Amino acid sequence: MNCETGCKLFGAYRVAISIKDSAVLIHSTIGCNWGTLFFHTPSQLTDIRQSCTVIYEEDLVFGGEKLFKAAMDNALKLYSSKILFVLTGCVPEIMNDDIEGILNSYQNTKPVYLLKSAGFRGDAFLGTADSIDLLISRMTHKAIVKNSINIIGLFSDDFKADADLYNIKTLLSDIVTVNAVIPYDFYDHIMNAPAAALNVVFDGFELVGEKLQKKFGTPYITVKYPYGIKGSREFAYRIASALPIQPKVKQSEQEICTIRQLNKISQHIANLRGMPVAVIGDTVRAAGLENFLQNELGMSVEVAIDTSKSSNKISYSEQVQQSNAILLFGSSFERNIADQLSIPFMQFTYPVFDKICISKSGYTGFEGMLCFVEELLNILFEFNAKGHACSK
Amino acid sequence: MENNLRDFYKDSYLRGDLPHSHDFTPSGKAAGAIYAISSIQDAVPILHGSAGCGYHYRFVCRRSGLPAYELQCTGLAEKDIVMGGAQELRKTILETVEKCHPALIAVIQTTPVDMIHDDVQGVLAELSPQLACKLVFVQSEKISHCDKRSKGKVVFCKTQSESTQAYNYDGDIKGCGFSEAMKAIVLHVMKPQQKKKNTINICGPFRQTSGRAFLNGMIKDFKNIGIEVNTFIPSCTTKDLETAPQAALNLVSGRMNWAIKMKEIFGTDYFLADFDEYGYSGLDGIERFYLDISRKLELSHGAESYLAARKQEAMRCLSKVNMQQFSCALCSSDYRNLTKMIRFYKNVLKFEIPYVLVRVRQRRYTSIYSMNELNQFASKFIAEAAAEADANTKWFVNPSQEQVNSIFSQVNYVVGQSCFVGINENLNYVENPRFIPLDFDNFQSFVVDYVKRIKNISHYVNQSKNICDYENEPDDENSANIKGTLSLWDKLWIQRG
Repeated sequence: MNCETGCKLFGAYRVAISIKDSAVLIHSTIGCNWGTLFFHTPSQLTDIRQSCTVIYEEDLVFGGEKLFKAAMDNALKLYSSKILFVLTGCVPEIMNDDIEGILNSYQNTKPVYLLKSAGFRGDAFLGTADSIDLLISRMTHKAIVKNSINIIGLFSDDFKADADLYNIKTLLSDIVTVNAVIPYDFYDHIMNAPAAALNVVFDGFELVGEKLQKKFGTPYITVKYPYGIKGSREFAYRIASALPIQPKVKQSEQEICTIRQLNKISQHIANLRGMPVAVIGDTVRAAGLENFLQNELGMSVEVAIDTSKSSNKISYSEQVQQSNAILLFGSSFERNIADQLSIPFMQFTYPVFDKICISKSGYTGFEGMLCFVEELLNILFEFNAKGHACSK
Repeated sequence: MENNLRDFYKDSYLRGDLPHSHDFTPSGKAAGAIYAISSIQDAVPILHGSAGCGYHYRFVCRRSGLPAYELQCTGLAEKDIVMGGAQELRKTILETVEKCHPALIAVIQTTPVDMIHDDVQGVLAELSPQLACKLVFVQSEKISHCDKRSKGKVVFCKTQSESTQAYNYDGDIKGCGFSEAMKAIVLHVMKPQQKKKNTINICGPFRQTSGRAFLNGMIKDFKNIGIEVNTFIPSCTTKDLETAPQAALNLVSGRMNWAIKMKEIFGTDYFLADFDEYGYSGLDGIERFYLDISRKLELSHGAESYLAARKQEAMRCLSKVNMQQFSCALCSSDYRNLTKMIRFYKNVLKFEIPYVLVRVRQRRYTSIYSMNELNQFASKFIAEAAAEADANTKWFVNPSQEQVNSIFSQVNYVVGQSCFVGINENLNYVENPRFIPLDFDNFQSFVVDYVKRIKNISHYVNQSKNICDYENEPDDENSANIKGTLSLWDKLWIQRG
């Protein structure tokens, strides 16, 4: 297989580390710690809240329980976090370490969440789902706050996570208050999720919406990631309608301003019409991007791969090769597909480790439309210029 | 040929650095093995383990931030852990052959497979006769990752009783994935060859200091003294690896366990070179580098006269290029490299060095060294470096801010590492060179360029604290967690065994 999807531990880790005041203890060999940390830090070098029990040879003989106990004692003492997540990898689960038994002796500490997340047990999506389930299991009923929403499906290590979230909150600021972002928020905010009047669930997180509805009666809507003007308008409109709030009919100043800016380069944007492209991304973003590229920029999305659902029968690379795509959107791992085909490439989905984002240049909302189009056109211009330089 | 250093600068600035995560955890040893195999031009590594390992190990830091895109993985599921993963391995090998047509496939196993004892050898033996490509199994000496604890202790103990030269260990550690993969190449790919006199293999792991420009420069001077480069290991083809034993000598820069094995089996001797050590000593160091290798190849007579003449010529060209009239304060947070820094700034650039400021700080390995021991440890290096400096040079270990400010106001330049730079707001700071070529032509250009850059520096105004040094950041939540992570690493790993 082509190593195109993460394992259960990766999914569980992304939930755990996205909670802003958590710490993570990985009971495994060192590689699990390395891989997860590396994908988490490119745009946030100082956000280091994890450690590993470093299972080694002697532990294969004697088991890792003693080691785990020592790690727990120290992790609870050394991290100033509100909660601690314990993730178990393949090795301790093969050894059958009694982690639950040990954790029973830590009743009076900060909340500890155990996620049995051996890679051989399933994929990243399963890890994510199980982790959020665990959080939901500890939530209790709260008084509903009118016109408040939870946004579900954003992670701290998503590319442009902060910038996108900022744009989304700006987009919704006149309509609703954001109660919690799940799982990218403070623990108390997440635990307060049942206070929201509506759960706004990104594509792929419907199960979370359903579970919250079942337990707390909170209605939910599934939305596409708000790329583009229409996408953003639709996003805000659907939320307002679901609450229900009378949606604004008039265009916002932000929207007018975005359109005015785009009009300045309308010819460049017109040149994108009909361009065959490929999109490889997670469920949250891939569908939203496909929609935006096709319906707003007029591009022809020939390949759209949802990496969370991919059956892996034909590799991503082969699917793109068999298409006419001359532009590829993906994660840092897809760069080589573009390189092999000598086509331009734009990162938009996890993991992105060859690009950073610390500014407010998100891709969501009206403001994000400008950033996205600007970045896209510049990539194409750059590619064109390089092509001419090479052919000279 | 361009008479500039663009390629050196490209190698130094435009290639990915080791990621920040390395400050908090090493990668598993599979990363080193994948690096070695994926460097071979026509080889494909297969990681035998669960999907998550294949997913994240595609990023291999030694490849300058480039993933090992071609990596394949068996993606073991729960049933494979129970029933064995041989069938998945068999399937993955056949798929890889069909899809990638490699000349070599190397199977690297992860810790769960180490535990379930899959018969990897058996699968390879079964498939080999049917396939045109070579199949190699990278066997584990240790599970998970290489154990650097014992090496750290050895280094520390040695330097307690002997010269600091003992510190220059070969970087070879049991359980290193790179070494394990290279050993598999030696045992199963290389073939006995007729030796070719005066030929060398230049061997990785290649890092930034030994980028392509650096190597090209060396090749030229090797040629001038009659030494031919046979191949680069492992960045060559499988065929080149087969014939690699025809070289008389392997030039290695670290992780040399496999080179010892190659010597045992094929008689190819090896030479461990600390490129930095030679480079920081300037023209003398460069001359010594080529002499050391030519002596190893027993062709020193011809080489000696050429190198002496070439050095003289370079000295003549560089005679007017120096910083003689300027004074500097040399700063270092890595006391182990002080001697070579002194050599470089005093002997090569001819700076006057009235002050040396050293920061000795305990950030990790707290259980190997107490602060007191660390000070003793550092003082040996400092004493050795002091012997290289002028007698009237004043030395300060962990100076106060007032001392730093006072010293910086008395010199023309602050050179070396930036450990004290954040404190002063207005100074001429010169960073240690990012590269020092090891060939005469490029070294000459480098000195001219470096001195020109120093002289062009006009009051580097530092607006704030050194933003690269997270330990200087205010005590916020992040820095508390960072300290917690470092401390946990020490308690959970370093203090063990």
